[in-house]
Amino acid sequence: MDFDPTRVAFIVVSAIAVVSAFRVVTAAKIMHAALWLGLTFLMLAGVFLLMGAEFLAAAQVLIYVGAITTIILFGIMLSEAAEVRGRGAAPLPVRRDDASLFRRIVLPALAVLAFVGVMVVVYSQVSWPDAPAGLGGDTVRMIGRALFTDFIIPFELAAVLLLIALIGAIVIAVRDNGRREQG
Amino acid sequence: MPVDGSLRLILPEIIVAGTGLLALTAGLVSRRSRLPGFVSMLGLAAAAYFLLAEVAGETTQIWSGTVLVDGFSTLFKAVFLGIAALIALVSFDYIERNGLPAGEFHLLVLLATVGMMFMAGSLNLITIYIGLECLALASYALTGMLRGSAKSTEASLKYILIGAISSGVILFGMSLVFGVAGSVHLAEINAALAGGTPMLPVLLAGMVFLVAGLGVKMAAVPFHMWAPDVYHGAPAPVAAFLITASEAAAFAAALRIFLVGLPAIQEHWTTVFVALAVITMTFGNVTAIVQTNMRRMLAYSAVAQAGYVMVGLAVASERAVSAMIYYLIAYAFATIGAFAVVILLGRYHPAEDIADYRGLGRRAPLLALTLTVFMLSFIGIPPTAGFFGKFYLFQSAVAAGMPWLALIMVLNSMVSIPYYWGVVQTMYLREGETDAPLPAPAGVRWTAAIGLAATLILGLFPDQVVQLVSAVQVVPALLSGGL
Repeated sequence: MDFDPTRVAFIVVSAIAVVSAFRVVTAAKIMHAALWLGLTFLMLAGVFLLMGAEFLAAAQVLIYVGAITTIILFGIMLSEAAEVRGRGAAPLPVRRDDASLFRRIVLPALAVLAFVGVMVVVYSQVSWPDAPAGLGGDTVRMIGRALFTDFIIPFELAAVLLLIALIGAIVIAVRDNGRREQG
Repeated sequence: MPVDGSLRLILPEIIVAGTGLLALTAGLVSRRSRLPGFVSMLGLAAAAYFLLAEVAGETTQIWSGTVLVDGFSTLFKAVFLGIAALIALVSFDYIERNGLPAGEFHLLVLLATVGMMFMAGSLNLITIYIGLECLALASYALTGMLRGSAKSTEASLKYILIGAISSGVILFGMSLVFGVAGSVHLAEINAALAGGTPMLPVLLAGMVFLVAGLGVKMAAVPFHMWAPDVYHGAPAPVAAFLITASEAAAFAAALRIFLVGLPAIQEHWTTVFVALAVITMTFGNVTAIVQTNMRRMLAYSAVAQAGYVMVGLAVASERAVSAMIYYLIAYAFATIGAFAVVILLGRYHPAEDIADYRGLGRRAPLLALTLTVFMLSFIGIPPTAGFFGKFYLFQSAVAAGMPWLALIMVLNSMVSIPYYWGVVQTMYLREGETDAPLPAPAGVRWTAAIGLAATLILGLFPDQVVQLVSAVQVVPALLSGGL
């Protein structure tokens, strides 16, 4: 195989993305998890860039790395949750028996290996067609036109989706002082 | 976007979404009023009127194929509107009693309905996916609405985690199918695969991910882990909504995706669905037997019922599809009716154990009788709707040369008799601690009555309903003759 800088860059960027995504769920401090999440988003932008999707990469940096990570950090600062397990609260008892080892390490590792194995087999068995030509050029214009012509209904439906997310988050998170027994 | 009058074809969706905003505003006027519920029901009625008067009978694709209007989508949309209206009706008392924010509750139910309407009303994977996400996000919030209940919060968290993974899995499956076929439109995918399937392994992987992701929404075993907790912990009207509408929407989307988009690999997904159907109904029924809690029993019964419906997807003939739709409608009415009684009982017995139904035959004779009819319908005893639903599914399986699958259905129905019948026995044969009559709020009574009427009408006049249902085609006529 020839030395292909794009391929090397892709492997490096995606490896960092995978590792930092792993750290998001394993970090003990929630602030660290948020920062790892930001790094994951940034690396994904790199993947998009390598695929020739410049606009997507820029949007990823602006929205995910810029806005969403910042909002998550603000949310953490405004709430009292410094650690994933909660400050003051005793850490959950971690049982170090065989079953927990199996559940926490062996099972996830097996699942990941099985998934990777299956996908590698699947991908290697087919001959992929060449990348479609002529995708370069003004992707911003193309995406904009597609969003506001062919895909206007999904686009508008996405607005409904955001409204649902907004109201749903408020319903779940709003402070309710007059709590009583429900069910 | 061509302004050619095609907007009126999605007027029902627009009305439902607008009604949601109105209901939210109505909820702001007074925190504890019933106004949002009435607004919601009026809006749903208006949407149903426009659907039946303006849209029914049309078969056309609009907006570059992102929306499809045909008999299949219109029927499903009518079912969704009906279910949403019944949920609004049954939840008046529940919302007041638990101090839920009425405006937000109805808004989320209505916007979830909009999402489901687009899931059934499109051949475009992107529209279907965003519709699915609308439904999913609204469901998570609705599930967690009982903030004072640990069960509800736990259910919501589990549902968010499993639901988010399933969304990712569906997207991955869609992207693999897109990678092979080069289109997100199911008809074009069909056309691209018609001449042969060059990248079969990738396509099969995509198919498996789609089955798994949609299987989560259908609560098919082994993707059902969230279902018992959610159906048990969520507010009771929400549980009824998820068991009926959400499941029906998942089946509608699955029918479109597999029958319209992927008939080229039908032999493969048929095998998968046969296996899933058998596992799902057997597991659901066997687990339901040992439940002592009414909501958990109904939850596992919902899993089993999803297995029966999946028989239709496994057979995948035109007859099987109409049998599925008939079954989904019959099951929806019986479930919401049964949940009306559950909601009433939950008011006096928050634990919702089956043992709490002791003496119900004396305390609320009419409601006990309706619940008996619903249980008979779940078992599949004539002349209830459930009998004909199972009968048509059975018939379609035999006609498609799968008599053993039909046999497994019958065996499963027999396994299910003890736990459904156990509820009836508890109501009539076991003495309750008290004989105090249970006054039922009007909304609960009406919902139970509508459920009862529909269950009996569908059971007594099945031919007319079957005629209506079998006129519906999953593969719209405008596509079957080529693109």
